[in-house]
Amino acid sequence: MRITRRGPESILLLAALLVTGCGGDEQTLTFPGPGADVFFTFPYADQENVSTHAPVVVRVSEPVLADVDLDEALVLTRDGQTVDASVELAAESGDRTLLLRPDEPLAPNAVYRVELNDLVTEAGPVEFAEGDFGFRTRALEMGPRSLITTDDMSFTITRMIPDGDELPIMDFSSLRFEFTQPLYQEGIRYGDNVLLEDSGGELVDAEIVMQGRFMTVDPVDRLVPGESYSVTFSGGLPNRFGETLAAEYSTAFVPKKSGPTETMNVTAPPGDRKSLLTGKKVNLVPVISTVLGGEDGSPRSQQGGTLGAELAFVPNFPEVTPMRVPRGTRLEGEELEILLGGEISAGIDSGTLTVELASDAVGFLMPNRHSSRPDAPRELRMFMDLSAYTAEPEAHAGFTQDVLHLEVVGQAIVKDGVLQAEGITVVETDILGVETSHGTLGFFMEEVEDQLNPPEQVRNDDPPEVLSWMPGEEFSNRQRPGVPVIVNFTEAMNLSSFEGNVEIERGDGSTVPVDEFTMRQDGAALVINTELEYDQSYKVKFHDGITDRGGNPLAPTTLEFEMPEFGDGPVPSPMVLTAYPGYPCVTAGRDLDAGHVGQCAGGMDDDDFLPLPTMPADREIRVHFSQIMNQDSLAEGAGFRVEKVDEQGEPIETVEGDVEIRERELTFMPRKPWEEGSLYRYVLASNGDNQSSQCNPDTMICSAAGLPLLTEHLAANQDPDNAPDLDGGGADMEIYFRASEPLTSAFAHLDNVPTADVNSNSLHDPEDGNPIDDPQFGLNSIETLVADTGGAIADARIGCPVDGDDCPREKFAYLTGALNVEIGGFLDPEEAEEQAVLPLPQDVQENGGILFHIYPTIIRATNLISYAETDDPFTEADPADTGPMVMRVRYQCDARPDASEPDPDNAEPLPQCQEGENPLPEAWIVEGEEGPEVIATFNTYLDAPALEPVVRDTLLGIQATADHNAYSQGLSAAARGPVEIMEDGRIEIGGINGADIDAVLEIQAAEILSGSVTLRIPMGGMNLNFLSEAPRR
Amino acid sequence: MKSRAAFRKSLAAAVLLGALPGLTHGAMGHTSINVGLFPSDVGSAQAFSAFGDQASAVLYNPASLTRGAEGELSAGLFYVEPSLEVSSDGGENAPERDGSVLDDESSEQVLIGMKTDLSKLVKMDHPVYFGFVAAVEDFGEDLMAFESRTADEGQFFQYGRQPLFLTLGAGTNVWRGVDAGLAAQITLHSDATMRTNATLGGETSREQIEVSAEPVLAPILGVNVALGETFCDTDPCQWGWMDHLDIALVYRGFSKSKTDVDANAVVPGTVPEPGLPLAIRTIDTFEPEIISLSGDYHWGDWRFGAGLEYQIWSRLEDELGRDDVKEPASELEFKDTLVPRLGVEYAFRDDITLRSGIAWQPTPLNPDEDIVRDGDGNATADSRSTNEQINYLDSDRFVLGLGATMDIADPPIIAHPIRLDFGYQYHYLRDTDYLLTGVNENGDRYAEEVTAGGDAHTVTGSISLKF
Repeated sequence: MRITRRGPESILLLAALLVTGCGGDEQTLTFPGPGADVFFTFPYADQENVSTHAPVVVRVSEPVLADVDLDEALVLTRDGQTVDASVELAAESGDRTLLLRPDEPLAPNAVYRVELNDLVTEAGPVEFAEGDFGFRTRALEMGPRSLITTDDMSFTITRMIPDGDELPIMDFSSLRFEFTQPLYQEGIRYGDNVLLEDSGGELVDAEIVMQGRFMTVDPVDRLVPGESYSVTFSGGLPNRFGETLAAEYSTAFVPKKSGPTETMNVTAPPGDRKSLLTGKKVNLVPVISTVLGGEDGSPRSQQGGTLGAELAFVPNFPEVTPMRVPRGTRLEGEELEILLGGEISAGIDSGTLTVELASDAVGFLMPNRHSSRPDAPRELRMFMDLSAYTAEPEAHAGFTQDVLHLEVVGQAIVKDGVLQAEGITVVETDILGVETSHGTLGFFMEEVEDQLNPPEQVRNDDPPEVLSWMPGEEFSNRQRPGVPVIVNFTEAMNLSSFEGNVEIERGDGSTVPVDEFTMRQDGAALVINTELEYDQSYKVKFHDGITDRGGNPLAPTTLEFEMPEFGDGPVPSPMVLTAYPGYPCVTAGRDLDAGHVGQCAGGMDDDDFLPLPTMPADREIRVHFSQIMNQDSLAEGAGFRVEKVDEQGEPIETVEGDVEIRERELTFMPRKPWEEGSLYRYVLASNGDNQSSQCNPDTMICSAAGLPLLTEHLAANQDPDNAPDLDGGGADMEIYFRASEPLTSAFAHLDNVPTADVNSNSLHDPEDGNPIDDPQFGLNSIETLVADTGGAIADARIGCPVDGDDCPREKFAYLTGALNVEIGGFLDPEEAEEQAVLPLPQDVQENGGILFHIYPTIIRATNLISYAETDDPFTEADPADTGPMVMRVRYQCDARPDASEPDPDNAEPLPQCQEGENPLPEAWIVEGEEGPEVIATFNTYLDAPALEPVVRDTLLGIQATADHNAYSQGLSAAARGPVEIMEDGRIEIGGINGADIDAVLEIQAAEILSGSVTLRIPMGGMNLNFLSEAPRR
Repeated sequence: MKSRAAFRKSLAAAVLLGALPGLTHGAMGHTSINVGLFPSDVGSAQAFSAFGDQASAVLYNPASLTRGAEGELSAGLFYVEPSLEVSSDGGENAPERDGSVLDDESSEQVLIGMKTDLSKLVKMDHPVYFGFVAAVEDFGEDLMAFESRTADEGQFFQYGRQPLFLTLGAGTNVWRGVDAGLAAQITLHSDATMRTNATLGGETSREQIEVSAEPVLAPILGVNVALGETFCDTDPCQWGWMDHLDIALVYRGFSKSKTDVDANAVVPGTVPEPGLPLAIRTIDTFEPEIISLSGDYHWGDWRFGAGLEYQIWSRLEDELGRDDVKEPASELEFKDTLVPRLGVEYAFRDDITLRSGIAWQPTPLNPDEDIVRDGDGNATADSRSTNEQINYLDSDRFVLGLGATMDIADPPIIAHPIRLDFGYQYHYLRDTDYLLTGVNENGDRYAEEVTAGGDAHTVTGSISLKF
């Protein structure tokens, strides 16, 4: 007898092996060859929580034939429809790994199916045993409730890992729970509303980590095998929407004995090895995002090091072998090269990137589900919670975060006597709080050959320290109520050790009660939210007992900061700094059909028409206010409502959604995405009168000081008598928008801080600071000089009489404002030329840049007082107080419906918007000599609605209020400034004018005076400073 | 727990079988029962074996050691070459079979036997004959031909190479015409234990290996009755036929060769103490209990023999149930068989005797088969047989033996008479259908319908020195 196993060579040998025997021919046996099998897929069949950015990977046992049409061979479908995607063979996979990348991200919470069709390998065709298989994508991290939950109607627990069935619960297991809806971390405490108890009802010492819909309960010590335990989530467990768990949930389990256990030392070797599953460099996490660059330019760090995987006693678990990697285990990686848009150096180093296990990782080596071939690798599944942080503070504060319930799916097999594990997962990380990045990690680890003398693991011996914090002593003038205090430690901390060891003390010696501040951990950052007050100083005290995950103590530390002084000036009504979507003014002449919402009420007839804004389907309405608000008045049904409207703008129905209210901010996320193409509006209700301070918080929006929302900034008919009172309100602000498809660009909100006008009353109060005495107050100020006079005005001066000493402190107007921007990716010069509407700045023409769009809004500036002398000894001009100055940032085009050429009195008309044109002003981030810089041109209308110059004729004894042209006064300011990432992770953008900006103020008082003053903002006199929001809140 | 046992078993099998280079094909049932031992047994299809006067009587009926007063020292060669054929009727994932002979592995044994009257050594008149016989495979070079394995392609239940065969015993006359004998067949039960540290690459350290082989005795009891001498008080007997008829009743206990391997491998970083247990227990060359009743009628130059053996194979079911290698076939059933033998011997001359015999050996194999067919009538992989994975093949056999003996009373050089024996045996295996099932090395289930048959030729010769 001869036995052969069919292979390419065996066929050839077959004939040669015929040997005759006595009584008959010796039998030659040719066994059926192994054929081709699927060895691995990602996702695996019925996998849950698959990233919407996941590729589909299918690895087969034999090389795929070259003439196979890959796009036909591997198909991804949803509801029977093929998903557009490209399929390739992964590099260096031996032509055995098919990699399908969908053209667009997958839909969240959706079931997809993977099919193989006519896939032929060198050993024949291959197909899935079940024909095809499905998987379900995860809910999103950000977006409408229906997209960030797996059930938007019910807050329950959906899954426990391990489940005690397919995956055994061991005495060393950490327990992972998935909820239908995101948790409110600040309201969850272990031992309070989360309990792990033994059979005697004793609470087991455990740590919990949470993020989004995920929670891990990680017992500190090994459980007792055979003992009965229960995990209970009380009915009071809160979610992010202010709701609580539908019912108390309790589950009992009996852990299995893992011992005797053995620790296998495995290492992630550095080098250029390519993943068999992704074709990309192993252990490299690319961070793909709009802000930091796409596939090629994104920051990436290859992780390396040794870790110890504790295996349950293999002979007791021959089929599904459990393992764990202990909490606190670290891997270190190369520093991230941070390039904005993937091209422009951010000017910071990240330092070493450390990834630390936030809880015990649990893993399982399982039989290959697709193939029983002896050479089929075993399936590896690992669930882990990671904390990531870097060594240098700027990147640290921006990047540090927890990533929970990361499921690595892989294969493991002994090759050349060494256990090798390959895995794949998609890591989604938050980028600076503005977008979610994603990266496919091709994970590779192999057993250390000399297990008795393994390389040393990354140690955790150093005590933690505070690496950076916000606001920080130096930057406390940028702090406002509603902005959290964030403390970034050098490493991830033990959350439970903060309990009772953090104290917030006010400058008056009183202590903020513990129930009046919340703490949340994210990576190595601790986020503290409490109601900060102006004029108050604070000490955040970290007492003894706070430790990192290695038990190393934090030395007692006190962080001290002072909130800005609100001042004693008149308390103004709150104004809307930014409204997204939309423009924060009451408009008139709206014509939705024609694609515009009209003009700001009170403006001039030839003012620009504001385009009907669009709103990506998955974004939230965001409104920022200039004052601390009465939060009750912002509630839906009080001063705020969102409605779906018909094409005429008439409301059809109220839109259900989730309102989040902070001291100076309101967000509204619809429960379901905005319906693309539909019209909506949101209404910010006020008292209907811009000269009345009446406010009823039950029906309209009021500030905490009880003043109504200022919605009309301008003086109707250009009559100062119609100028709004400082504490006035106005008509309801109805902001219409049309829903559009989601964008890939990143939205960011920037505040004009610091500013001398802390109380935002747009008046230069006596106690307000100035740049002469403190350069910090130069930020967000505009220095205004008189460049020339004309007509009857002989001389003029800002701030003080012409004939006295000059008064440099009085020449500054201080801004109250904020800006929303939409940041796109990097464009090379050709792409920039193609995409931009306006002529490109020189830098962009040469080197390209990141195009970002500015959402026009209203910025206010404090008043200036102008003193003038006339050339007529009998004519006098009283000092003219501009009153609050209103700068309306203009769109890039005019949305007026007809082709009639406007003829504005005081400004240049804008080109008419073309169909499909993005009306948002363009700006650029370019590579400067010392780092990234912003180039922007602000086209604004300047209004001084309360300006009422009084001139008098002393000879005739008459006085008159002069007319002036400070209405819709066109002002164009080209600004350029640095982009800096601060130590606390926020991005600060400066901007100064590179040339003088002149505006001619004409004053006309019939028969008394006619003249002009040329006001000049000297080069550098406009000093803008924008600060991004806290990286996490 | 079953899966765990399977895991251990497969690991142990891998270690055990991987450690034995040059696999040999073992089988159940020894050639001494299937074929015969000495040429006279082979040539008569064992029809006269219960009444043999040579050393092989120690195996077939130790009571017969008393036959022939001389001592005798025998040596011989035994060669059996089967031609075991399998033809395939196809099935899912079945191998392609080209040619017909699946197994033609020969067994080449060297035989040695001796019998003598022990009474000469002591002051005792009553003769007591002692005998022993040994057979060693591969012309004496292979003392431990042992194999136990699974076989996707099927494996023949009988035939194959044989482990060391050793039987010794004694017989004596106990009453008039009544001889009794007692013997023991000796088989080896081997134990191997190993303790080692190993890497996943197979590199071992801190090794500790112990191997031992324990002899185990299987009893053989035999009684011969010369009817005339026993039951007649006249000589010659008043019932003349009785003087010509002897009968024998023999009981043989079952025997088997057994190997136990108990290995523990500590894999640092993967499996701590007590380590990965690699335990395997398996048997080979099972010989059933046999109860035989034989008659020998001699009349002039003629001699006629007849025998009926009851072979109790069902005990093997228990053995397979405890066998780690054959555990997939633990449900396999065996039937007890009845083997009739007939022989004739003719004294052609004073110094030359010719003999022949026939026998019918039904197969004990009795698998339960459940064949699931596809649309084309082929067996699908869903088919099941209790013969799973082991896939024994066997057939009812017709046995024909031919033999001759030549006595040389005065040979040259040698002072004692010499006896030369020659035997030939032919086995015809009746075609029998089987279903082969299991999981192949690709991890795929297979099912194949086959027909097993073939034949076997045995040639043996011996020389005996009488003293």
